[in-house]
Amino acid sequence: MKTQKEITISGVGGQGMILCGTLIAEAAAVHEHKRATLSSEYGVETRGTFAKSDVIVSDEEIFFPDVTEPDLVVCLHPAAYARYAGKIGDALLLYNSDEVTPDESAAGPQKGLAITHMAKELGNPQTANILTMGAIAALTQVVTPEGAKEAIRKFFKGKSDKVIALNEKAFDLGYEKGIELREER
Amino acid sequence: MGEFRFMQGNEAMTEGAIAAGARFYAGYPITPSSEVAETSSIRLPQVGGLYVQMEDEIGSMAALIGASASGKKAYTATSGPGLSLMAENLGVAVMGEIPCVLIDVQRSGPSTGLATKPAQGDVLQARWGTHGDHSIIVLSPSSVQDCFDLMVTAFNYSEQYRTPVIFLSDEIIGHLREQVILRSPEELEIVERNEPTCDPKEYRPYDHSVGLAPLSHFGSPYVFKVNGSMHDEWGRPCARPDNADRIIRHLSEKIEAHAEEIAITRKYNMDDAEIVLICYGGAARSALSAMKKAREKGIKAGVLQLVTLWPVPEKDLLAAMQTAKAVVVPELNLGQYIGEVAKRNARNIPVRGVNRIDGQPIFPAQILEAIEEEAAK
Amino acid sequence: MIQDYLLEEKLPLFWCAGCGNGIVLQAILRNIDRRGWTRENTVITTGIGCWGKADDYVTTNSFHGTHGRALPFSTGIKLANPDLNVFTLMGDGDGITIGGNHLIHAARRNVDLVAIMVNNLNYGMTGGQYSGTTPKHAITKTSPYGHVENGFDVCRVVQAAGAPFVARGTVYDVVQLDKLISKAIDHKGFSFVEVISPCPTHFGRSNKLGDAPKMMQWIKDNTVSREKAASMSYEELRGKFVTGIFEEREQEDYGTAYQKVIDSLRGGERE
Repeated sequence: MKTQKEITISGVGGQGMILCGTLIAEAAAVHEHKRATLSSEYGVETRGTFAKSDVIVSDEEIFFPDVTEPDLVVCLHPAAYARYAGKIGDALLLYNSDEVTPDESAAGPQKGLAITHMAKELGNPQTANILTMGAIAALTQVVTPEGAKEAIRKFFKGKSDKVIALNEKAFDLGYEKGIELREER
Repeated sequence: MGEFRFMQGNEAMTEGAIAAGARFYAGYPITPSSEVAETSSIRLPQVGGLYVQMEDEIGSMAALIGASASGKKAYTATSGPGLSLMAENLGVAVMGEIPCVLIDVQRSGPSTGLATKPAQGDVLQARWGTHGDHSIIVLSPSSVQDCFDLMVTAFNYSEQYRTPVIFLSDEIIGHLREQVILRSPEELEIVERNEPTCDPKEYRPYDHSVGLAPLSHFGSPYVFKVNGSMHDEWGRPCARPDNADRIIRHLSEKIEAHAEEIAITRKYNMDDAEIVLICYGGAARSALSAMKKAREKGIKAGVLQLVTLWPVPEKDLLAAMQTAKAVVVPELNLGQYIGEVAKRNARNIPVRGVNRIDGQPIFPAQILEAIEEEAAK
Repeated sequence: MIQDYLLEEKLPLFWCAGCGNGIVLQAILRNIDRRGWTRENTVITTGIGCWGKADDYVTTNSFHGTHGRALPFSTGIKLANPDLNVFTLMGDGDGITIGGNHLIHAARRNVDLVAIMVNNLNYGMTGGQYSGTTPKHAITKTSPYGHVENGFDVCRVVQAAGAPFVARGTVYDVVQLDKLISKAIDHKGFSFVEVISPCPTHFGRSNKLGDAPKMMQWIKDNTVSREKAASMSYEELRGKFVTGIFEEREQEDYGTAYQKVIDSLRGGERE
């Protein structure tokens, strides 16, 4: 049985993929004592060009840190979607339906989630990456919500209780939607 | 016990340097090494150290050597374009026998190349980047834990052998985030400078007739001269042929004669390995994945990972060449270390490279393919 | 005794008859001696060139690095041990030509050290080629038909770059030179002194300026005090050496400012 879970979070620079991936991997490594890596690919520009983060979580030592056999690919931008749709076998593709118009003819399972819309509803569009994190945790089960939220609290340490609470809420919402998608599958 | 953390390779290098006792950083930010500069600017003043950003890498290397001559353990971080500029004063550190650690987080070259993409194209530049005969120590990390632990080793070697040490990382490891144990001081063995104890009038910093001469620091009772020009035992200019011969031989021999003590290698499944992967740095991660997959297919593959690249770890390399049926050398360049492997191929076994220079990491499948082909022969 | 700072076995100096380097070295050593500085707490860093050989003759700590990089070596030496007295000796090749970028940033960074640039208007050691201070029309080994570029007014460059102490003297007026170096030493921060010095062997010969005494006369004749220069036109000042102190102001040096950062993080604890 494959004990290693591989997740790609893709979009364009500035969408917070590295933060999202780091928090998942950190939660898995520090709070749940699994092995985890995060590697990323980006262009010379800080904003606007294709970028991705690869998260691998395993019970064993991880050697090659880039995703080669994905379990989940998240696409937050059409540029990222175009790169992966129909090309990742039977891995699930999760796209941000506020940004991406799906190609229904693309092979393989895919699900949309209105990430931008939901983050705005929560009161801060910047919570989108934490919301995404929740959905990833639910879909892959690489971290427990408790471990993930510990990582979130650690990251936002020093910020107001309100900010921390908002991000925890974003995680919970993402997690809830992720579970719904999982059950649909 | 240490502190269990999840962090980036570049950040762990800073923590490793500070744990080794480094208190001075001079550098010029460059992708993909800039996080070393950034985290050093945060961490050094917290521990009473100093960060200074120089006008270029030439000045950075100079300030680094100056600080070390004043007694502070000093380091810098750069990438290929910066290494090219640092090469000039790297020679001063070599010639003046001044310890320091130079981190090179390799990116794709030549010139500006692909600034954000990984490569291992500086392997020979690290060895021969500065002009003239000399030897140098080059260490290559393959994990975030290495970035911490091996950095301590780099500083230890630099003080022990009075030499610059190049910490040859790459974008894969520099930007990789994974778990690391930041070891507590009591877990670490730290080598401090071998300071002179003789009568200050008798102090000769370049008299290596009885082992490597101790090195003092400016401001101590031991007055001394550092000289990038050919110098005598006192550091005074000296152009006598016998003296030049003595100095240049010494600069190589003080390291090459200790190659086995400096050699760090890791062996995986080498006991019965028929196909041996000889690798280092970020590409070692690809090799280990490929080895695992090959073993799952019943192929007797093993990995000899070279952590010390220069001086060449002769003993382990020769041993691997003695027993292997074939050797595969994956490198993120067109074959810079494979030459060292080929030189030691007394049995004339197949030695093949798996090379990638397009800014992408070597995928394990590429190495696996080479393993399968060699195994089928 | 100034002799305490001179390495006897290296004498006589290798500099040509009529070279000004010995005069400048004497002025520096006199000032060190007057302050009672020791060999142990003094570091002299040099670059490459005739003046870059100055460290050969001193008994203090010394650092002979690479061409143009004396200032960054000094920066590391001083910042790592603020108790040291650090002198940086550069020629015009070191100081403003190959090392010009280091010079302007050192002026801006304001590390507490003394930089003394001896300007002989050409590269003496390598045989008299033009440098960044060689004046227009001057003949050198690499401007055989007359130099087509302009030379730097180095003090103006360093002043514009923000150095808190900037002065120019000549080896003709040793009394003034001694005072300028003295003031530079006592000024906290980056202190820069340019010294106009003759190179009779190369620059003098190429430009038919005569032997060593005549070249000294030539420097004297073309020297104008800063006060007098204030009333002269740009054209009148062409080819003249304006001497005096151009900048002298208090400014927090790098080491002091950085120590405040350390103290704020560590409550004054120092390693």
